[in-house]
Amino acid sequence: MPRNKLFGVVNLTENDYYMKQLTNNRPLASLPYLGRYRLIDFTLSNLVNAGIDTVGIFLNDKYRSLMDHIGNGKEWNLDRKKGGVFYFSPYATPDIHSQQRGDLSTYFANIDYLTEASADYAVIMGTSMVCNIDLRKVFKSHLESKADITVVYKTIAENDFGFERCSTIATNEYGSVMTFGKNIRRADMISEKKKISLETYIVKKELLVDMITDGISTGENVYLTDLLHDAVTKYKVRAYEYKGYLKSITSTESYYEASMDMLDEDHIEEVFFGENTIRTKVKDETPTYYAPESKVENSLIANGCIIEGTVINSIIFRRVHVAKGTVIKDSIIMQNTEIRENCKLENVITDKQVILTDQTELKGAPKNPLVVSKGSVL
Amino acid sequence: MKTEILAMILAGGQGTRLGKFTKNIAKPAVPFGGKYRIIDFVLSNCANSNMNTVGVLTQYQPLILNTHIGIGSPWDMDRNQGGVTILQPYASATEEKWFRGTAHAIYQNFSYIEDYDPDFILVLSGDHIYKMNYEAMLDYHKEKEAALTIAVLEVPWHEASRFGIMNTDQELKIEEFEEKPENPKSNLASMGIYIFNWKLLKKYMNDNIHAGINMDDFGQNVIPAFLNAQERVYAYPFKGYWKDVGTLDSLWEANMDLLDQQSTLQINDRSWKIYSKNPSMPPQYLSRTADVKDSLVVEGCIVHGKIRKSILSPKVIVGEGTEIFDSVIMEDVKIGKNCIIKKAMIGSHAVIPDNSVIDEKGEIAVVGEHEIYKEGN
Repeated sequence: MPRNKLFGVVNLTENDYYMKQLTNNRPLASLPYLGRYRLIDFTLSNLVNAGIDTVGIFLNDKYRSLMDHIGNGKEWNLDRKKGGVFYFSPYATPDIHSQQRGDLSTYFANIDYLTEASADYAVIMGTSMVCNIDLRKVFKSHLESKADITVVYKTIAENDFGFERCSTIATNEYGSVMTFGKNIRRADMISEKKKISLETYIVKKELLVDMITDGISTGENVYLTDLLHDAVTKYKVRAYEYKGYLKSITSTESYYEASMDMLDEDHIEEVFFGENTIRTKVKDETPTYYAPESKVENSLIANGCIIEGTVINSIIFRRVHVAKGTVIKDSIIMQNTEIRENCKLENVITDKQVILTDQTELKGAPKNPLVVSKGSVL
Repeated sequence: MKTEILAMILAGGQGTRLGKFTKNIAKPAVPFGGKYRIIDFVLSNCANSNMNTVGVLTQYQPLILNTHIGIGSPWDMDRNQGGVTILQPYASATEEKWFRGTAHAIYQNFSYIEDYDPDFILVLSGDHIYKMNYEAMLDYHKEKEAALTIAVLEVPWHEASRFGIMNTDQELKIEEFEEKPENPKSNLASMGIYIFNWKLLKKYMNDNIHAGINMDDFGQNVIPAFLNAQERVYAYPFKGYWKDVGTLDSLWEANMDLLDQQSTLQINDRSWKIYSKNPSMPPQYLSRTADVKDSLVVEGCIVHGKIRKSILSPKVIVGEGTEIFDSVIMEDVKIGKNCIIKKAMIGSHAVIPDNSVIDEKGEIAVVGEHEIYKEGN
């Protein structure tokens, strides 16, 4: 009997209301990020890098692109006989046949995944927090503290206006979590340091099963996140401080900002060249070709591109063609996009498979980037 | 486990003419084109031609080659039936079975071939850069009702005496084979790609070997044996990019050919992808001081310097003020600041300290794997 092992629970109930068109056809989890990743790559890599070999993904709607991306989990070594990746979609059972409210009924309907897991502790994570975290350290701290639940947080500075609408925690002098709140900040408000919850929890399997069952039987909570937040009134919830790189993606603005923030060698080194690698689905693209007339500065560029124009302060995904005379500044160009000659782009996010014909000019603002929907031809 | 055609890739070559690059790795495993190894081309050709049962014959320094191929997943060859099998020479109860030549290597693996009971066997070299549809060649072989089909390439007449030359009739039936002829009668050079009817190959090899006749080499022994026996031997004409990367010069040239956007190799053709093992790396980062033109760069690179007509492999770091021209930089090479590198090939994991100058005045400069470069070495 393996003891003291972790298994993964990926919670995809995440607010994507402020993502505009970017999440029209995909969950936040499969939002393309930084040239070749999807947000869930960070979650899965963090779980797998902690030695976890069983991961359950609790889906909501719009999950086609996610299934396509993860498949049998091979890229994360999750194509296993023992363990592996499991998908749970919302469905009605004879017990809960009323209209779906919240996600708790999905967890309850699939409670066997939890009760039958061969590991004892669940790590619950979402996908909106970009980080490279060593969950083994969190687990060690959880076991030592003898807490019922451990929640991971990061302290952010007074002048950090990111992490909008993220959950915050308040702790007492012993490091116990007293309350969960929301991070609401305005430039005109007197601010203070805040403890942002990474919405990453470690909890003993049996307790999680009890909490979900209670939640269903009392009807007090319909969302797993609320259930975990309300646990502070009944259980010993401890906070674990994460000090590494963290960005939250909850809106197009924060997505844009979190992307541009990676145009920095130190951040690249910290997130991608540490001990734990971030894995993603590979595509066998060719090396990227920079033509004699190209000009590229301060940009992240994926494989399979042909760059003939000018690219400055931008992120270019796989298999993008930037034709002659085109100038791209402060923009994010997703995969399979064709930008023809003499276009001008500034503060723009183009989704996948966009075609911009000759001389297209698009301009957004740094705080309000212009989003071009998937498959558009302009 | 019957299969129609079985591919056998000869990947045992030492490649001594590649100098430092083949000190620790077999020639087919030498890095190429930023993210590939030479053997990726033939394996991808197999995958794209639906040749899904493939034996790879290794001998010299096989560790990296074997690790690279693994169970063949990058080429979709991790199969329940067939797939890729690494065939190493081994010692039997009666003798040590080192491969003495191309045909001898196949002969030593007759038992592997018999397991699949194939109608045809396709013999390939693991050290050529080209894209070819072997299924089309098989159709041709069947259509000609040939016993043996040899892929040939038209080479310039003045170079013909460096190759094995096929003299054919108008129907491309081969009448004569001349190895490196002084006065070539034709310019159709053998590409070392053969399709044999398996039963005939087995018969000729077994009969001749039992009769004490040397059958170690396809060019020297096996093809002449087929021709002498009046078997139907046909030439299959191939058009397109093909390069034997057996020397440092040809390896460097083949790399530079990738920069030619008009090249017939077209590695970015989606319908004929070249597959390889893909590392988990972030996109390439070109900093504010970077100046990259007419070059190929792959994921995981961080570039601060000036790059012209060069190829950078994964995880290469180029410091500020450094200038690189006409060079091939292999995986995980760290290049410091203010270096000048001209026409060089720099092996994986090498370190080039700040202010180094690597320039052999027109000759190819070579820095070996894991080498920490010191001027004058």
